[in-house]
Amino acid sequence: MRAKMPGAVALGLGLRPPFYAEAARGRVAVDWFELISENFMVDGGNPRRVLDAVAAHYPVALHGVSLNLGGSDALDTRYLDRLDQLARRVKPMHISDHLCWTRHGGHHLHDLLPLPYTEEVVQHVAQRIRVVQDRLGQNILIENVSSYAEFAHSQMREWEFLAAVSEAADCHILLDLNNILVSAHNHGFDPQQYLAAIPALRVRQIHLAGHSVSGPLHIDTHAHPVPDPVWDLYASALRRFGCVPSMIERDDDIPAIEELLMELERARSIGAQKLTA
Amino acid sequence: MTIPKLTAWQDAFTAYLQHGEGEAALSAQITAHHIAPSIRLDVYRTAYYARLEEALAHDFPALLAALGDHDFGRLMADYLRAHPSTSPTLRDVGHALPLWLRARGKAQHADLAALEWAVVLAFDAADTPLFDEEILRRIAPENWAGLSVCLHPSLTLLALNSNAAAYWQARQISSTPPALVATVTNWLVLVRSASGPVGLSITENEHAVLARLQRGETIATICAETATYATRREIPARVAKILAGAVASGWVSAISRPSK
Repeated sequence: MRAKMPGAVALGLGLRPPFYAEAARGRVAVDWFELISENFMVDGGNPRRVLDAVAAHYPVALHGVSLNLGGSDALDTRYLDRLDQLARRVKPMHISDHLCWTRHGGHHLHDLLPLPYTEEVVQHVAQRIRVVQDRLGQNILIENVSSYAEFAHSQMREWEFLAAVSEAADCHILLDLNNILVSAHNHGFDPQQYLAAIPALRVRQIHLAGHSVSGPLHIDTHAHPVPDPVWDLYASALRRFGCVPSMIERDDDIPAIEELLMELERARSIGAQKLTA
Repeated sequence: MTIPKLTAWQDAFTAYLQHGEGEAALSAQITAHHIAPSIRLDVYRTAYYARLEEALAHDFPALLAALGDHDFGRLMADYLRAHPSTSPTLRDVGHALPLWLRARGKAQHADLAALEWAVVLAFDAADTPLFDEEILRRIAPENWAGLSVCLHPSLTLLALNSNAAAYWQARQISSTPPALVATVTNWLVLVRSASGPVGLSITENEHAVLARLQRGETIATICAETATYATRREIPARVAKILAGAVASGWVSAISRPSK
């Protein structure tokens, strides 16, 4: 674990299997790790050992993909119980999930699926977030997702929807800058307009990642280095939101950890410039 | 709280993802913005099957090798239509695959899938302390009848009618696996060791006894099972040998007297 300068951005990495051994020994120079909650909802074995060892060396955040906050199925109380047990075990700095739906008719779809942006859906999602927060005894963070489809009957833009849900639920925001850029390309909006509409005090974490281009659409694959437009947006985000914990999220074609640490150095450099400017 | 319009939309979207149904009706609700709604929707449908098939390929690498990419992809798409995921984690998506393959008459592939699923289960099963051999020695033989035995949570018993174990083992040591063929039944324990999941051959009688132990049956019941192949005088010694072997192998977590 590296010693963070006072006032600097706390920089982390998404914990992935290639880093398990080094992270469990506390030998990765990051300020914190983000863990995929579902990967550690296990009874024992190596995942449990890694979980305990990493949490002993670093602050950790829990990041889930299956809360189904935007679903019309009832919230999964067994899943919530397991998330609560996990949180009690590692005492995370944040618990987050996505502003989307992931399950329907009892079937988990294992994707971050888009919602219509209507006032009715704002209230529906906010009510479910409040139930989750009551169960966990803390505010959660909701993350904006990349999307490839928007609905003709939406009554507001995505950034207005995210802001409205966070206000109605009194929850925090995990802002994924790559997702903003992917959706901005796919739906033709200005990412700066998105940032400007987000309630600054609710932003508690930032994701940095890369994406792929597939025909006319940009796809959120997390299989590439963070591209320059995401770094540019990161500079804007730090100016607007201040010293928010930030991390690199890489899920496929995972390079040597040194490469990801170099990307974190770039984040550190941008943070130092923007926060002292 | 339920909201009918959202429920109806998610009904339609789920049917599209899983079965390709209703694309035209869904497309009519999507904003085009220079890109056809069908192209936008296809991103989700393609990703749905790709993600689940990737999870199955990760958990069943030997099955993938045995079937080849094309047949594996086709079979897994059929499997996923029959068994959509009902768990929040992709780790569970293959739980029904061995039985599903067997029902389709793919007995050797079902054996291989059963073995690989046992590996998945062993990987993150609960950590429990192992039962001490010395404590077993201190239990008087006359007290054995009412005892029940708790096998280690990572242990799966397998009865394979093929050379799937040899196929799997060859891949573990980066050797060329044999062609999958039917064989006489062979009996196996798959259990987590310090170096990872391992498969070990056992006898039919050991399999039968361990299966009863795993179901929570008492030693007295096990002796009844053993009586099918041993004379009454031999029973205690045979059960003792199997139980001692299981304890020595690290397959037993606890031995207890059932509560009255």
